[in-house]
Amino acid sequence: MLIPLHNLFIGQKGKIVSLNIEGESTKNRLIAMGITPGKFIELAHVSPFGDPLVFKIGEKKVVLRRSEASRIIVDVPYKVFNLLESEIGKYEIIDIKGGRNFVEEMRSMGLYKGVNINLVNKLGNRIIIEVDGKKYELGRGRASKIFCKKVE
Amino acid sequence: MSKDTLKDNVETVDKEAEISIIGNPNVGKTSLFNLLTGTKQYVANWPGVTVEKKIGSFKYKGKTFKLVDLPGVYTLSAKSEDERVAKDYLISNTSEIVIVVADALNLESSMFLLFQLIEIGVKTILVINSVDEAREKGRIIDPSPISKTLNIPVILTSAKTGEGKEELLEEAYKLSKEKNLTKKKIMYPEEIENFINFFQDKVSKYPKISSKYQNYIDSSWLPIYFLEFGSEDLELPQDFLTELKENFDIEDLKNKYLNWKFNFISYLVSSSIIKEGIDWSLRDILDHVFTHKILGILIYVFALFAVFSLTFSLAQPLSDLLDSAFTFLGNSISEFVTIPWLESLLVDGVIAGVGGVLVFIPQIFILFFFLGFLEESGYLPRAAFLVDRIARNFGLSGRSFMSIILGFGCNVPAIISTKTIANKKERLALILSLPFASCSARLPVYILLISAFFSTHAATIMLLVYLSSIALVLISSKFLQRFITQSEDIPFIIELPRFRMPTLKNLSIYTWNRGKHFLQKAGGIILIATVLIWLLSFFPNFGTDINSSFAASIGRVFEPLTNHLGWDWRINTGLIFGVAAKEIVVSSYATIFNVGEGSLTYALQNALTPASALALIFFVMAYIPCFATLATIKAETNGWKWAIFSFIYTTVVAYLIANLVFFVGGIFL
Repeated sequence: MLIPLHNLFIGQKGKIVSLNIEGESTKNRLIAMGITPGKFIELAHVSPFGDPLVFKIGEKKVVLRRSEASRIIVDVPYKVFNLLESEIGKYEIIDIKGGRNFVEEMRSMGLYKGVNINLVNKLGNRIIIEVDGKKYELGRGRASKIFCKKVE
Repeated sequence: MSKDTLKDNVETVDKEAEISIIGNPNVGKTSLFNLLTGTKQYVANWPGVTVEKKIGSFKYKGKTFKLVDLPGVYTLSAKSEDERVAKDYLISNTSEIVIVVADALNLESSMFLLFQLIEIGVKTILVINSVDEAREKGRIIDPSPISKTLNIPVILTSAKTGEGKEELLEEAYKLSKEKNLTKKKIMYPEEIENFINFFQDKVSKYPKISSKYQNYIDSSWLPIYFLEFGSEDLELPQDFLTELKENFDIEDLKNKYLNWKFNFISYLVSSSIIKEGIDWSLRDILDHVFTHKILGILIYVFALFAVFSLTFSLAQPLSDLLDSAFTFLGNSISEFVTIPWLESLLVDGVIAGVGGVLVFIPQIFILFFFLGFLEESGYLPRAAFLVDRIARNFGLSGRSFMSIILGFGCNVPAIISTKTIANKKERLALILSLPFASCSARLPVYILLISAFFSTHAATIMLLVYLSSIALVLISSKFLQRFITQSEDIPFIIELPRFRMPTLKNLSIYTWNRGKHFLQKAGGIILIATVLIWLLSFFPNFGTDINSSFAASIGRVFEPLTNHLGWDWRINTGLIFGVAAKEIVVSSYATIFNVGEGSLTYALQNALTPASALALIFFVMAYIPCFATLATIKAETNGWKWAIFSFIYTTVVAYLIANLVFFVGGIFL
């Protein structure tokens, strides 16, 4: 699945497909820095203010602004959804980002990597999910830290 | 055989060889340069541009080598100033040998540059640096596949431990002895070879190109450069371009070429790396902390605070010492020189003026030492990353914030510190806006006026002044980028280098190279300016009464412009003296009002209203940068144009602000 580079989540890798950068010099600079089609690139850090982003490519860490990253297209095996932005349907959890306490708390509810969940309803700021037949309600903040892929 | 011919022969044998050194940023190029040359180096500017060139020399087996450090670049196109300088220099053929420095942990990205150099056809040595670090990480590199495939010497070095230095010297020596080296040729796929052949065949029919690139007519450099970067700066004739386009699908060929190159490079690199090694763990943890939402920002603020306060607390005693030394020197001279005008010129003009600026030396050197630490350790790009989003609202990048904070100490190092900003447009706008950062020299003026008029609200007024100063720097840089400074806008793309512990040697060289600019370039101008100001205050009445000097007359000239603000000629004359250095404002008021500095408060209270004092505070905050700063602006922008612009621009802005403050202040005060 092809997505723009800035849509990766932290820790996710994608294979670079194309650089749709207009300026020849910027494009050449990116290429010379190792951002070339065929290579794997990973989102490593996000700035405290949401922009720019740090990407790992090979042995390098490169800072790009969202505006440039959005013009670089990467191929990922599947689209990653943030639970907050997901539609109603079935998902598999692929990562939970947060502090240790948060991850532990989620685990105690049966939410961890590889678990299938069912997003049953979205009511304003509350997201209702079903895990193992039990229903839970998550707020926006928590939901935004859970990443998942769609289960067909 | 005559003696002269004999001498000539000897000279040809031992002729100095010129080596240039090039590489990506952060590969340890500077460390290698320092390792080879030691302290035998100096910094100059490339003619006509602001890019610095470092030149050093070393001797090996009785032969002298001149080493030129080219700017750190990723490619040799003509788009950015650094790249253009490096490219022009390399194709001009003055360098016999080029050392390409690559990073052992990041071999691939240096190969693009290496290929371009092989195309140009100079004698090339590939140096794979930081092998010690690579070894620590478990990476093992075998240089022979690259060396054999490309037919160039490849040497493993560590600039830190000195490993590989002898081998590199030996290789450079051998190459310098070799004459008429057969040019290296890269074997391209058939389609690209066809294009190269076609290009070379046709080129001879266009005398314009063949004369311009006479050294490159038979080499594949020109066609490959054309494929890689387009024709823009090659100035190829239109009919030649049409001919190329008729026979080839350039866009398609370019993609094929790039693909071939990537594959070839990754094949070459992977065959040289015997064992990969792991580089990430510790670096990732550190980066996680340094770029963290809360911790990262706290560390950033702490780092800024530490650099700022350490600089000024460590420098203050030294500055005081220098100050007393100049006072002592002045006193001694007054005892020996009995001619009154000469005594006044030396003591009140030269020593007071130049000395007043030279007391900043400790600040500048200590500041660059810490800044060098932040830069060489790899923290600076991370700091830039943290605050880039905020800075962008004003057309700046994260890197600029550091310079602004430095500006609160002294504008001179702040302006010099913009050297590392790659975007020329941003850099120029920032240089011209930095004088609005309220430097520490203005503080005595604020303190004097605030204690005389606003002692009950001292902290509030001070805060207001500093906040206005920050706002003014930001708004001004936005404004200047919009209307005045015009050049290509380069996106903010930087690399986060590995963390390194800077060596004391490299830090010292860094500090000295940057700091000595202040001494050399600012020195002359300050001397001329202080003498000029002395002339204005001494004549025409030979120093008997400052109130009837030329300086006072000039102050009177400005009265029509300042009377409505409540400033008479005495205030104006003080401001004129302040152009040399802002601290002088206070001492010159003491002279003009003919009172000691202690009773100056009362004298000023009689001369000004609170509203006009407030207007004066804000005028001092914004008006004309001191001579040292103007000299630095001239040096950094390579000409008088922007220094003169800054002189006028800051005065106009300051005057407008003073009027605004006087008007608004008049309502409340």
